[in-house]
Amino acid sequence: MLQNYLITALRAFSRHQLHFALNVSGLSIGLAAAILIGLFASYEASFDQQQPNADRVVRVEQYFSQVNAGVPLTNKNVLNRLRDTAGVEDLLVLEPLPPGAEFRVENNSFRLDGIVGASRNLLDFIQLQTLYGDLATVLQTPDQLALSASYARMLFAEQNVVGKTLQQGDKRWTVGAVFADLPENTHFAFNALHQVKPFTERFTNNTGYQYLRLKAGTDTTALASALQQQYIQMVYPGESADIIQLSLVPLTAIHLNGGLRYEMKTTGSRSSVYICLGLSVLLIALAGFNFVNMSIAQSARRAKEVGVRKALGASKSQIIAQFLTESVLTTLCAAVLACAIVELSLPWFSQLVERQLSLQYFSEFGAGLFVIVLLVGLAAGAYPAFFMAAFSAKRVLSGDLHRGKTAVMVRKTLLVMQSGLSVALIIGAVLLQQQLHYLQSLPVGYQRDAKIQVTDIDSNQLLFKQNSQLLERVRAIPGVQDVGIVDIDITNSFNASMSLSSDNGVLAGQVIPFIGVGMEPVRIMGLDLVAGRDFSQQTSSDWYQPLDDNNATAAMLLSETVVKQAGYASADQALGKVFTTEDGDGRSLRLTVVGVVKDLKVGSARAAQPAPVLICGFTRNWHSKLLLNIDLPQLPAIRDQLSEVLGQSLNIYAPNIELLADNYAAIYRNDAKIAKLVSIFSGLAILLACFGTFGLASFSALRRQKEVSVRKVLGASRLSIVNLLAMEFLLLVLISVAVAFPLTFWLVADWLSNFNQRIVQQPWVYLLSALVVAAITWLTVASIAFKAASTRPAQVLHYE
Amino acid sequence: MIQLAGLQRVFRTQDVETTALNNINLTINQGEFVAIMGPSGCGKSTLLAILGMLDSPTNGSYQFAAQEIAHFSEKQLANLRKASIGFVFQSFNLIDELTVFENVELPLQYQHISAAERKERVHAILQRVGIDHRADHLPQQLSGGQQQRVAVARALVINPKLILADEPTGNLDSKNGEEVMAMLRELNREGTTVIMVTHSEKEGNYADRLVKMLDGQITLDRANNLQSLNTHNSEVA
Ligand SMILES: Nc1ncnc2c1ncn2[C@@H]1O[C@H](COP(=O)(O)OP(=O)(O)O)[C@@H](O)[C@H]1O
Ligand SMILES: [Mg+2]
Repeated sequence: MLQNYLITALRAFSRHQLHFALNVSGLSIGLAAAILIGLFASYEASFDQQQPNADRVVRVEQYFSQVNAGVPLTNKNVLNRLRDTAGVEDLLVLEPLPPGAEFRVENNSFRLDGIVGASRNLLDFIQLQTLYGDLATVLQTPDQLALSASYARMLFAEQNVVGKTLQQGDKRWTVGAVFADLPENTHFAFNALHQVKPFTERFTNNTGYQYLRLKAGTDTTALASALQQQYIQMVYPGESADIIQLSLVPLTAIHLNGGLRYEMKTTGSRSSVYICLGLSVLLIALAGFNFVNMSIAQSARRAKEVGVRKALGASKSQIIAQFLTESVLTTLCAAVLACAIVELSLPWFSQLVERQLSLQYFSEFGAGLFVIVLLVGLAAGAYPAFFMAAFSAKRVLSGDLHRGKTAVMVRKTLLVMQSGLSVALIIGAVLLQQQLHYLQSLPVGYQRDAKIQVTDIDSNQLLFKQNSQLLERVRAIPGVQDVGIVDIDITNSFNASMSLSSDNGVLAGQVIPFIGVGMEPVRIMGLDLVAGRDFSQQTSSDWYQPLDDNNATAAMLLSETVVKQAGYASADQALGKVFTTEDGDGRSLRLTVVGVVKDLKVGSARAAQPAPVLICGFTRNWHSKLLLNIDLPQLPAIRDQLSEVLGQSLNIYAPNIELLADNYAAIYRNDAKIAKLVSIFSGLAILLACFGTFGLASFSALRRQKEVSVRKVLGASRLSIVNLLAMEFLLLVLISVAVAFPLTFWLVADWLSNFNQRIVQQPWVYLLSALVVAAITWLTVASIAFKAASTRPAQVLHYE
Repeated sequence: MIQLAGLQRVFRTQDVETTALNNINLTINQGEFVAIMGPSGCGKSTLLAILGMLDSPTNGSYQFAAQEIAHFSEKQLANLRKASIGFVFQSFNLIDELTVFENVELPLQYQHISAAERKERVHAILQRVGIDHRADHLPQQLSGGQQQRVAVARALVINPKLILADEPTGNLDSKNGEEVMAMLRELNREGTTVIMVTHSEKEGNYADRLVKMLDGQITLDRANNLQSLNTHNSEVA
């Protein structure tokens, strides 16, 4: 019997190729999109699953309530003390080596990053393959390094480099092991490992990542609050119980939960995975709707067959089985085509989502795919199958095929849903782009064009004491217009805050983030000066000066919001006022306000951030940056010159140079990725909706062929006939718009509320997308209606 | 074999109610050849559909082989139908996607008969209707007369007790029409009960018994003297 079904199906496919082609291509587009997304989602979910006991490992992260920011870093010494807390089985310490002197191999200098000190139990936490030497020994021996295979090749041009040495300043490292590069699907990222520095009694600095392996069945929330309590007691004795919050993030969730800051590498985005999943379900649904629609539209053609089969003894369930077989067969064809589409588009898609994806057919994923294809085939085939099985054999017997209902309501409803979704997706895509564009064009209070920064320079070389000689030499490089000093990456985040008190008493120990800068920050960073003046060489007392063991002074620029917070009536009023704080070395630091600037937006505009102050010649960061205004076309030459100057002055031969504009764009990279995905998927959705309209319109044209012919005989023009047929569909679009508008408005408003700064939803966006969908629908219908309207009436009427 | 008593069939569509059959009483015995005649729309096809168990009466009783089936479920009807009733339609109703052989084979498949036996029986029956040289053709590749012969073969292949034919010659020229009628006649001689709807008086004359209908009711039910006379004559001859 099955064979009979298959033969019938295959011959039906080849007899009605257009119908079959529409069905298969529609389904395969939906499936291909879903497969791509599925690959991406399952890849994102696979991060760190391979690590030993992955389900019991957590990372300790902390959140600073006062500055409203979280970091994945903690103090290793504190956690070492807390390692015996009930529930904790083992502690892994990873402590990145702070940027320091460059590495030299023979006569070549290298700036190496990703050099991490690790506790000796590393292999109990991370799956890592040692290629040469012994990793365990390296982690227990001072001055030994284990290199990744790619670093070994880069530094020594070969892989087995055990026993070779690297010079860093006056320190000599010996390579003790080489390990295979880490796979892409882990949040860990390091290129070299060494023994972690011994534990001390210093509890305040957060220098590394701490991972705990928990005993099975441990309550993580309870453990987190127990740890938090003890952590605060040790690090912030006497402070309030919520000065920091500790959380234990499961190892396997780090990749998707990760923030932007201080991760070992760029993390993924849970919301983009969810958005993708949602969109792919939508696409499959749309493709399924098409399938249902077109199958029913073609059902009159199959009615005779159903009737005959019934008359010959087929039961209803046999008819259902037959049509389900047929739709599963169609879906399988579509799946094969979908796999081909996936193979072709995978390189492009991998690049888009920035992952190395591949489709493995003989894997869990492949099996899952097969099951899903079967399910889609059954689900999409179910309604048409039941619909057809209900055909009356008696109608066939009396040659009466055209009477009775043809599920017009169902099909119209599906079409309404399709065009509704199209309208919603267009609106969503446009508003998403608008919001993104808006975020990127928000005034940030500083300039970012034609600026580069040299990172990872020891703060002691740039701040505290003026290094005019270095700045002179840099400024003398052709193409460099100006150079200054900043202690943070302004496109990223604040690194330090201080508790400020104002002389009028309004601010008393208020925690306010600050940026340490050199001279003339307003000019060099392109800040908006509202009142007062820039820090300047002419008033050299602006620079940080320790007066004695207990007192120090520096000049300060306020942002407008801080002026308000401190209760001054205007920017001018704040000039000359004195704030006090601690300098961290036991001195009281007096800060004199010399100017006021517009608020600075550090990092992403997505999050609300406190307004900062700028302090001249002072920092709490280990590393600071040179900020250069340059003539961009000369960048390659400037790069070379900088290496030379910095090599001679600071022993930095391979400086790390970043374009500020690039860094800024990177903030919105995930958002841009999502916007791009939504646009692509909306395009596909509209394409699928077109298929649906096309299928339904061709059926309706067929059904009304006689009416059309009669009208033509009576003198109707072609256009009027096209419009007559299209009107039915435009009405459906109108209904879909009525449903889609409020729903979309509500969903988009909900999404926008995640943003601190957001656009207003414009009515024209809504009208435009409705018009676009209506126009596309009209064109699709017209292409068919035109043909119907062009048929010679005599032909049709003759055969009736 | 068939006994209808007080049979009624009413169609309800939205607001119109059509009584297609009204108080039909009819008994048909094994081996009879019955012709049903009447103007278009009088209920002939509806009656045939109920006889063929493709439709159920609204009221009344239908006994088939001494079994009351008026209340049978669709599934029970399908089972009873596939073993005992063959259909021949005016518009042939061959399945376009299947070859001649596969079309004839189909009812046997629904009866779960083995492939080997199916092959044998299909070939035998195709030979009998003289179309076996076209076994691998698709229906559109045949003439109308050939298609109807295939349809008859399909009705015969299950060795039905009853053959129902709804205007079997309606789409055929007179020569092909006569061939089909002769085939039905011969079948009937071999013992199969045949019930046929027809428009033509001439074809009505092939039958042993004539039932005339008007507006859903039987207006005339008589033995066909002419026919029996003919038979008689031929026997004498
Ligand atoms: N499925 C149906 N729905 C509604 N009315 C029907 C249906 N089938 C038949 N009829 C009506 O029942 C009457 C008898 O039809 P039918 O048996 O096909 O007539 P005939 O075969 O004698 O021409 C007609 O009036 C017809 O309109
Ligand atoms: Mg009829």
